[in-house]
Amino acid sequence: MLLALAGCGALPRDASGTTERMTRTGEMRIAVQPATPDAAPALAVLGAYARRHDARPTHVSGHGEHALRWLEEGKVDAVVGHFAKASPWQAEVALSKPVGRAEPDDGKLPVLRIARRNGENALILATDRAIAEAAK
Amino acid sequence: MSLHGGIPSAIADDVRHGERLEWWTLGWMISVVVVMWLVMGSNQAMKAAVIEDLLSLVPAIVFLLSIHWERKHPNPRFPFGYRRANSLAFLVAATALLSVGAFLAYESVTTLVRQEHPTVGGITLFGHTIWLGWLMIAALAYSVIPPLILGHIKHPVATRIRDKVLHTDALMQKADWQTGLAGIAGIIGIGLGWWWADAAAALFISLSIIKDAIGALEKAVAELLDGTPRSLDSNDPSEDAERLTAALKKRFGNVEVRLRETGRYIAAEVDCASPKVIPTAEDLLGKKLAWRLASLTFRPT
Repeated sequence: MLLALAGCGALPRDASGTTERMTRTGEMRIAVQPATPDAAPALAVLGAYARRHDARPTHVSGHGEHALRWLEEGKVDAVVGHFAKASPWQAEVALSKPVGRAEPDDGKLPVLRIARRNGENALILATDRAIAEAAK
Repeated sequence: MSLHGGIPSAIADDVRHGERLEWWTLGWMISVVVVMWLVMGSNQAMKAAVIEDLLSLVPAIVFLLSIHWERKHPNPRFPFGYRRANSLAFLVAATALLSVGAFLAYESVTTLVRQEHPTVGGITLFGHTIWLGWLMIAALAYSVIPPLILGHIKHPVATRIRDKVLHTDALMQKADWQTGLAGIAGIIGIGLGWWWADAAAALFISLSIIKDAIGALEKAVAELLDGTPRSLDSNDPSEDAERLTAALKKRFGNVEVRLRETGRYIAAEVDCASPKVIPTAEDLLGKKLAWRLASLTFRPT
């Protein structure tokens, strides 16, 4: 029964309604950290999610912790950049698995990840799934 | 059995049954901790559930330790034996129960105050990425079953052997399965986008755990302060104690009778000269409960 429910994809929803807001306003606000030359695969994952919800990605320029703070406050929907698994931000935002590569052995090595706002579980699950698919 | 030592034959079988139940509890609850730990990943809410499950092992452990000591006989260094180990274990078990309740309440209140939105993302298993919430619900459902059954079996055994540690452990089991159910409701709530659901459900359950724990602590303190024996599920004097007082007063007139409890055993002190014929425990409490009376002292006024 649980698997049947899981299959229908009704759950989970976003706690702060990011996905619904994207559909309403037609935009997904993405902050890319400066000097992220390999951001393309992460932007592809987010772009696909935006299109599926009738939105287009818009880029917000934000430096370092500003971008993560905006993410916490819901001023941006996702932050693309290099983060370590053991990042000090790992409990404040929802960091994805590495995009386009395996998890490095060194938990302190920053690699390309997507940071999402905590509790936006529909967006988080969908991006987790897309990253896992892309890794295959 | 000797004076102040060993376990009376009248309850020996039930005590052994209690021990077996506690070994089963340790085995099952450790399996629950392992399952939860595997599913938990980095999730904060599940981390709290694991810590709580670990704490819930404490009553079972101290029960087994106290029975081990209760079997030992008195010696010159401990002339009254080790029966009060049970009272001490009761205090520890009640404190563990309070810690579980307090920890749960603290976690939920901070989540609610800080408005932390719990993240439950995807997990990739065998090439499929599913919502981790489903896996958590399955793990929580598993965590509900052993305590539900074990707690149900323990309660009557605890009543028969008048064991407050085992009784507290049954309360801990109740706390375990209730938090498991609350956790399931919380995860479904998170799935529906209600970030507060998990914390609110846990807070609700934590209040009932704290209430049980405070009741147990009151009795544990009373027992260590040589208070009149309390009954298992309330802070009122136990029925056995009332019966014993009545029997003693009937025999010796309206004299002062003081009762106190050492573990599961009652010691009585009567303010009157030693009678020629000392009544046996069986005379006073009946055959079934005779084991409860550990000593009877007369104190001429």
